[in-house]
Amino acid sequence: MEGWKKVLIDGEDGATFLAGVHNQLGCIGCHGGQGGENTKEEAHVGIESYPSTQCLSCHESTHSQYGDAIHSTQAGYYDLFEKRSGEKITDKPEYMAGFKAGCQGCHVSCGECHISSPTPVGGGLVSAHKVNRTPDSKLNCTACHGSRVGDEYYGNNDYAGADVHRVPNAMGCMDCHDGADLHGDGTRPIHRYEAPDLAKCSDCHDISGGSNNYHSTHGAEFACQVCHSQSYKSCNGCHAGEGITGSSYETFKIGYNHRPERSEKFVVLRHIPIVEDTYEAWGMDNLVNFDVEPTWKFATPHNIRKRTDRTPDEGGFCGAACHDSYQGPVDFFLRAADLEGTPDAEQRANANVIVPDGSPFSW
Amino acid sequence: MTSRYNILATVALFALIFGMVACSGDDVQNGGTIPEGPVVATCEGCHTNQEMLIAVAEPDVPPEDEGEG
Repeated sequence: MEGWKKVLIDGEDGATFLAGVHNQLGCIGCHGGQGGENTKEEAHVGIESYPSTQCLSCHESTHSQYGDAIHSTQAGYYDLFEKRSGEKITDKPEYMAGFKAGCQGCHVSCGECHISSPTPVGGGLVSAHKVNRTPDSKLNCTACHGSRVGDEYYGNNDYAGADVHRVPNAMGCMDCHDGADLHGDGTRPIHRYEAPDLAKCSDCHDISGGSNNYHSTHGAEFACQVCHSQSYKSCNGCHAGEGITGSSYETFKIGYNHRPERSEKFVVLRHIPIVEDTYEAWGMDNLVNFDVEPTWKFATPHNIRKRTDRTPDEGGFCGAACHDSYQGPVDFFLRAADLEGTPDAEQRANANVIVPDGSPFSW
Repeated sequence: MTSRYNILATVALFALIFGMVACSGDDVQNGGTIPEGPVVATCEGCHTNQEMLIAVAEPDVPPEDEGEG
């Protein structure tokens, strides 16, 4: 989007904003800057493009909860950095400088969800500055959550179709992830899957009872995605300051759950791009505790289908598709063989999520 | 003589009104031209004026990626 379009207030949405309650404070009331100046440079002295402070005056409860929400705290970054490195990001100025330059941009202000696209993806008014109660799925949510969630949900990967909730019903992100998911509820989760009242399939789909043999046999110990997600993207190699330096590739791997807040025994796992020297550019050689967290991590791919390679036919036998997959050509399970050739620390990191060799009936 | 005076007065009045309108910030807001002369611009005046924004825009730098999540 051209720069001028990003800041143009026009059309019906623009008129709605200018005449509405969110313009009561006026431009300078929220953004600062200098009134009565005739050049862009003079008028923009002291301007704040993405102010949130003024939102507090009316939306105090939401604002105060948001301070503890993952989108605000980025607590997961700090926690996993500390676990893997034995140090804190705040310990050294060079760590903080690197974090601010490369990671902290993912923090979002109020306006980056409700008024414009987020800054890290280029910004730009979504609806001519009209304040949208519901963020736009494409211009807000998947603008950031794009390379994995967005591509999966919209069916952009050539190896998988769009999520069934996208086609044909075209549900948006906020149909499952409500405001409490995103603003927080006053608790302070460290990781995203710890957040209370996260969107769950069971919010809409009750699989208790009924005559579905798959559900009655595996429903209690399988994450829904084990049977119902299509292949998804994994990545190798991320280096601070450079981004993804390895490859991304199609995967589908079932393994043991490692998230303590999840009750399922079997989940799908996505390889994340962390490597031992990810933070070399910040002055850190290798992550000394690299093996304390798996690099094949619990995942919730957003490309759900009723029929997948594990559930091929209505009334069919999933065993042939899944249990016997170890015989090839595609083994759906993450095994020791998948880690062969990787560094020792990588193999140790994933020791608790890989499943044994052979048929599931022999485990 | 009176008629000539009335014509001159009318022309002067129109010129005065035109001058006031042309030099107000509202002209910027309503769009159309980049103002010249002693105009006091307003935030709304510029940000609702497409031509003005195009004239002062800096080259857009595309983001490095489309998000990691």
